[in-house]
Amino acid sequence: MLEDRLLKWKFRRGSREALARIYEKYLDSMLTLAAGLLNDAGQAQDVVHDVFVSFAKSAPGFRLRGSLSGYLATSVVNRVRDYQRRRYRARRVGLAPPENVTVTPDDAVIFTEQAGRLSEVIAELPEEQREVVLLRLTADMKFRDIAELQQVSINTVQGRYRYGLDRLRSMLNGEVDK
Amino acid sequence: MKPKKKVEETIRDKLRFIAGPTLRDRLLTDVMNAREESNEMRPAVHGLDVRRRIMRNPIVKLTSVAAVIAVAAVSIVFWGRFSTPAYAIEQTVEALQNVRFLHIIGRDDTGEINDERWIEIGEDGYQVRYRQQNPPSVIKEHPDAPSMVIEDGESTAVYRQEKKAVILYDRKEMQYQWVGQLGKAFDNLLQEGKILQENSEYQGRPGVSIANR
Repeated sequence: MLEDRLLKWKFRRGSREALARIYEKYLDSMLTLAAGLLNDAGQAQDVVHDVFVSFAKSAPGFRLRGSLSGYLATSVVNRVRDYQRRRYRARRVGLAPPENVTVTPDDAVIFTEQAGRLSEVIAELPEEQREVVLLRLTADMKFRDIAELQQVSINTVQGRYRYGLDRLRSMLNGEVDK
Repeated sequence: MKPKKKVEETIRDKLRFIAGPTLRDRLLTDVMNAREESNEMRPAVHGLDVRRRIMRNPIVKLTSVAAVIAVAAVSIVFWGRFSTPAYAIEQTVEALQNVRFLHIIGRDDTGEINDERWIEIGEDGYQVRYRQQNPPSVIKEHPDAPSMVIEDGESTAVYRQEKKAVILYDRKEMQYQWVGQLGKAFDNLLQEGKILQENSEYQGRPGVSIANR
């Protein structure tokens, strides 16, 4: 936390090293969040790219009172929502991007089979529950901050979290004990 | 372990997507390029009108007839409503662009202090820390006014003497902030200011070592 405060301070003053450190520190967790929300590692890569590029451009007037992790996670969620709206529109007019793109292993998002399976199961959750579960468990966001992002009460968010975990438990059907 | 806890633990531990080395480098290059482009296009800092300090609190409405401004290397006193032209302020304005510490004292017509503030300014010209102290006469006139406010950039501590309490606010809820260019502020004081004293000894508050916290 103390490191983040220092990083924010340095980043605001244009430190290249601070930006690189923030990127290095949060890239994978934001990638995990985006991949979980989209259930698509390739699209998650695009979202995270846009989030960090936009973050880098914000340095001159950057003023943040909350956590860096929460800020970046909120940016990811907003980008994912935009992405999903665009994708929905593209599908409707038959402009969906090609599904299979060849990449080298080093240029790809790496994840285990179990992570892929979890992502598929999480994708079955209603969007609101999926957001709450992933923001809480991958970005360590507080319920209060998630409530602000979703513009609902904290009780609603906690309810969504509970329902989300219940559904995941039944969908995973004992897989978590393995 | 409870099933829900197990689900939480599984997602925390097992749901992990990692960027491959080439992807990681490629993204970092894009991010750094975006930063460079942004720096090249950086606009000038907005000017500051000393009469329009941006503070989201009724206290902002308290007017200061006079102000004492102490800075890191130079201390200058501006005394309001003097008709004599300001001494050397024109030359000082430019030099004060890099001021990091301000101590502002407001006085009423009788010379009694009615407003006192300490402001630390970052290298970008924006406020880093802020402290404001209101004397009893102000609190008597404005019962809602706190006796003291300290803002450290993350939270705002408001001291309520009548309640013998300190209330901590998130900055989203309560802000005391001075923004803008100091040079412009001094420019605005030019018409009614006068140097009464200089203090070359004042060095500001010593920095806090993060490592020793």
